[in-house]
Amino acid sequence: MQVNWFKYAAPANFFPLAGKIYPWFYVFAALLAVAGMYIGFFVAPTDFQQGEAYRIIFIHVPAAWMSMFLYLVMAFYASLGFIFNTRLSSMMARAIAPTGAMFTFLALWTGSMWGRPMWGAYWVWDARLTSELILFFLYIGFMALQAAIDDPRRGDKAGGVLALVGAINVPIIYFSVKWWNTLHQGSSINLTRAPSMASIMLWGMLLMALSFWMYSIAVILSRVQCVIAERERRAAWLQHIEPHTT
Amino acid sequence: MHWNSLEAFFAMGGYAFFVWSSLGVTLIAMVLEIWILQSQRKQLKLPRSTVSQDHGNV
Amino acid sequence: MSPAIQNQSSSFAMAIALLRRDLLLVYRRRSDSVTVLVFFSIVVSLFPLGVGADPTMLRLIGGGVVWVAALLSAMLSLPRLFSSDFADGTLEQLVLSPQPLALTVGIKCLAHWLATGIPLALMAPLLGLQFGLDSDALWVLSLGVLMGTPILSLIGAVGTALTLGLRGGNLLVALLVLPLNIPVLILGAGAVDAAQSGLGAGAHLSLLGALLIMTLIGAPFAAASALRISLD
Repeated sequence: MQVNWFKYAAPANFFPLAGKIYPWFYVFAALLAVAGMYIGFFVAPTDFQQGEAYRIIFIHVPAAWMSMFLYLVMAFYASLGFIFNTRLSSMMARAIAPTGAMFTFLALWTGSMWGRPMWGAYWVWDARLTSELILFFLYIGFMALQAAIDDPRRGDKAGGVLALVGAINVPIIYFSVKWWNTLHQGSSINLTRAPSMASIMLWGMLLMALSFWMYSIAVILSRVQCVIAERERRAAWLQHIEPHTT
Repeated sequence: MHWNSLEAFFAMGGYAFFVWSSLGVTLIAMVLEIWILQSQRKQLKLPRSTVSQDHGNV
Repeated sequence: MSPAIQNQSSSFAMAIALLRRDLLLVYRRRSDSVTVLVFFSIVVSLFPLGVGADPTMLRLIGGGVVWVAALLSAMLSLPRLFSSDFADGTLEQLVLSPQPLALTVGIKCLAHWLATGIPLALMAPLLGLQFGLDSDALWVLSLGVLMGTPILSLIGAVGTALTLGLRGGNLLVALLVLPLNIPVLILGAGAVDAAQSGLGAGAHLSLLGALLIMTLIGAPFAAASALRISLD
């Protein structure tokens, strides 16, 4: 196990592995999505309070889960790359960010689509929606910083510092927003509801979450291949131009 | 299966716009991301994604 | 004298010297500080023009408006933290010097706070007065800004250090730093609200203090490693 890990920590070894396995994750994602959607749209009964609109949560909740989970994973990889100077970890962080941002956007979009019929407004300054929005800003900041830095090594390290600072701040932001929310609004709006979520609904959500997970793995592995290829190519190209580079 | 007809399924109990736009945007975002990735792979001359047989993506 | 003690005292002397130098620079460019204050009061004055002059509403939003404006003003002053030292190569010398870089960063943040944070804190109650805040709320506002601005300087230092020398760096700093400053805004503006509604701002201000201590401990190191990365 240990040996494997270190072997695949080198981009040159990881590259073919990623290429070999990533298409399979698309397949898993598609199969799980079919199962989850079937349960969500055909098997799960109509919610007696929310009508059919509640079916949005089969996308919304898994997307929100993924958006938060991917930020943690991204911050973990970025700080790993920063602390131990492992190139592949930083590349993984780079590959995760766009997908995480996409899921954050989807969580916001589907959340407002769900909120309009439930709350009568597309946007409510609810604690969860607000922190999701801030999470979106954090993703954008991370991507913007890395895009602005031309030197890939500097970009990796700067991203590592930013992700680390961001990850430390996420709980602080979350709790302050939650506190702000309880002070400024009564309990008129409460997302924590879901009194007796039928277990079949839970299964649908779980399957969709797994599907999104598989999708993320596929996309991230595919993108990390691109990142590696781009970087190696640049290195080779540099060696041509400047003979003294190592 | 509890839908009486295809129309009822598409109408989503009057919430068609909200439900289908959520689903639609999710699908568009994923297809777009995969498409961008594939064109990036092509540009970098990476091998195209192949599982043993052809399949439809999400 | 043992080298350790010598080192310690020299790093203290160095810190004092750096602080004096930075403050002298601020004094030489006093117009910069004044610009920040003018910006602060302009932004605050825009709000009544934008939302109307209803006194009850203004009293309701006053604390938040002054806080948002203070946040933006602190943001505007951030480039001064490192950019001129970066441009003339002083920063590189500071990074290479044997003093702990986190200390250097802390000193620079202290100078920045003395030059912008304190003036903002002194100015804030004046602007709050225009919104009809009562005297309790004005005190809390001033105290909150006084405690919050060092956090803004410290987190801002991380952001500026990361974007040193990049194209469009200033805009990027705002993108990186503003989301991280949200807790400060919530606690600061919340304190004013609490004082106004008679609840007492103790809880908000103590949380702000806790945040300040945490930031004081962590941010100089983060900013120091960011500087090393950017100057590598």
